[in-house]
Amino acid sequence: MSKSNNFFLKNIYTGRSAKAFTYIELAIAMAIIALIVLGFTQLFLRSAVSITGMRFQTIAYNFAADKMEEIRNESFDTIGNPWYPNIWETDAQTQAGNTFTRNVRISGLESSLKRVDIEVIWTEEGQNRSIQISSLVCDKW
Amino acid sequence: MVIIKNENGVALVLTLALLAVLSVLAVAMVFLGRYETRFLVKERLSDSALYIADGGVEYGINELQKDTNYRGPTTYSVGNAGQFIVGVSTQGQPANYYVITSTGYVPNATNPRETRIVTSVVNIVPGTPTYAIGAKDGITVASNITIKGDLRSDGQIVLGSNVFVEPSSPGASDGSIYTSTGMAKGVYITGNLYMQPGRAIRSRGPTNASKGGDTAETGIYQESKIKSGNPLIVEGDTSGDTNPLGSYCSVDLNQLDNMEKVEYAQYMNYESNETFDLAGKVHKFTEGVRFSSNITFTGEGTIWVSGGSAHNYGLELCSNVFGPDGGYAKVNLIVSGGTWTTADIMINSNVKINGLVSGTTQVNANSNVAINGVIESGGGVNVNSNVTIQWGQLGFQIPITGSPAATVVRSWREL
Repeated sequence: MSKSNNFFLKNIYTGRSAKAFTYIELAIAMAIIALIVLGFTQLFLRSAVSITGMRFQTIAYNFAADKMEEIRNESFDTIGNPWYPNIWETDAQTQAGNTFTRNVRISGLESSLKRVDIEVIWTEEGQNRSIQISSLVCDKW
Repeated sequence: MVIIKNENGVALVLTLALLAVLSVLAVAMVFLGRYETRFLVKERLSDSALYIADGGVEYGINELQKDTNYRGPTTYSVGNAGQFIVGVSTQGQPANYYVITSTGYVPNATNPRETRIVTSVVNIVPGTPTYAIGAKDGITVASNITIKGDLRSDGQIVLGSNVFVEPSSPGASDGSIYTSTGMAKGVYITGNLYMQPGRAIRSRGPTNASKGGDTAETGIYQESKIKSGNPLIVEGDTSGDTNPLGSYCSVDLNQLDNMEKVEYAQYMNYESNETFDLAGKVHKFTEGVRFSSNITFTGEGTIWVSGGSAHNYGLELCSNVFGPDGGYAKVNLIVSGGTWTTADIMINSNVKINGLVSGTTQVNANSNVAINGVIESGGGVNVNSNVTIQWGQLGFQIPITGSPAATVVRSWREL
């Protein structure tokens, strides 16, 4: 590309024919800005979606952790009753405009040892999401 | 001062410069957001690993309650959520204190994304009656008997020849004889009795002073047959050591009934040369049970007879009854009901038991019997010849009243 064939560059480099140059500069600048902003918009949108997702995940985790602590404070015999063994207990809560469904399962591993699985499910961007925490609880003398 | 007359292109340059700065800021913000997102994901996984690790501590406590010799390490998968590796140490701890260290991994120990380590000091005291032999109505010990632990009764204790009463372990404070009866010859020493220094024989019966010497009317009779240990002789005792215990059946039957169990609705007679898998359960016989000779108990568990009649014994072990490889069988023998012609429990000859032997009315141990645990009766206990009874923790823990087992978590911290 030669300088003489390029109107814009010719003006920049030669400093001649300055009429309307500012407008052209502005147009070029705006075009560049528009392109870059468009690119960043995608990044920001993804970031926003991700942050919202993390917010939901935090809510879901806290929902699960609350139940885990509640179970640990129960006496061993009452954990899972009356739906023990191997039965799900389900409840739900709505927070941040989303519904979180909590499934709790108690599995009797031994007469003195139970496994607790807590899963929280929610919908995000039309897709089901879930987190799970698990632990064991024993019957202490 | 330089004056630039031609300002053409300045706007573009400034815009591009500003844009570059803003782009850097925007990229930084995006990366910051992504970093925070990753951090949150990491934090969630890390919290999950902590729950897994804590589950490992619970697993360790459960194992210790079953067997205080458990040390691990054990690798255990908690479903698909994660894995833990748990181990136990007693280094630098007092008796019955255990340090449980558990490492939680998400998703697994081979390729963990997150790892958390917790350690907990736990005090676990197994439930075991305090005596080696206890009987409400009386204890009769024949010849060549070694008892490591206390003898305690609300009735008469008759000791035969060559009876050794010793501490249950070196440094233990037991190895004494107590009776709460006020009758004459509450402790009747008929043959040579060997004890350890610092032990006592206490009876609430009449004193030598009140009866003019060691006569058949005193609470402890024939003290001259004590050949070693020079124990403290106390007649007319009023201390708490000779308070009547009332019940000598230590098992909490309601809780026992809630344990994992197998029920047998008819009288069972196991023939010779059989292997009985205890499988960590309570085996409840509602009509009685008899084990013939050459029986091997595998696993650990409890044989419980809750009722029945029309047989000599509610629970009978004939001869050659052992655990695997001729060792101690980890089994409790309990008879809580029924009407039996001769005795609740009969342990005949060549038997090794690690557990509690508990009957309602009468328990007999014949010859060449070794019991590592406790033998007790709501009536009497007869121990014949060549029997060794050593007080010890039960091979299979069951709910005990009076001196119940206890587990206390003393500390918990993350490493």
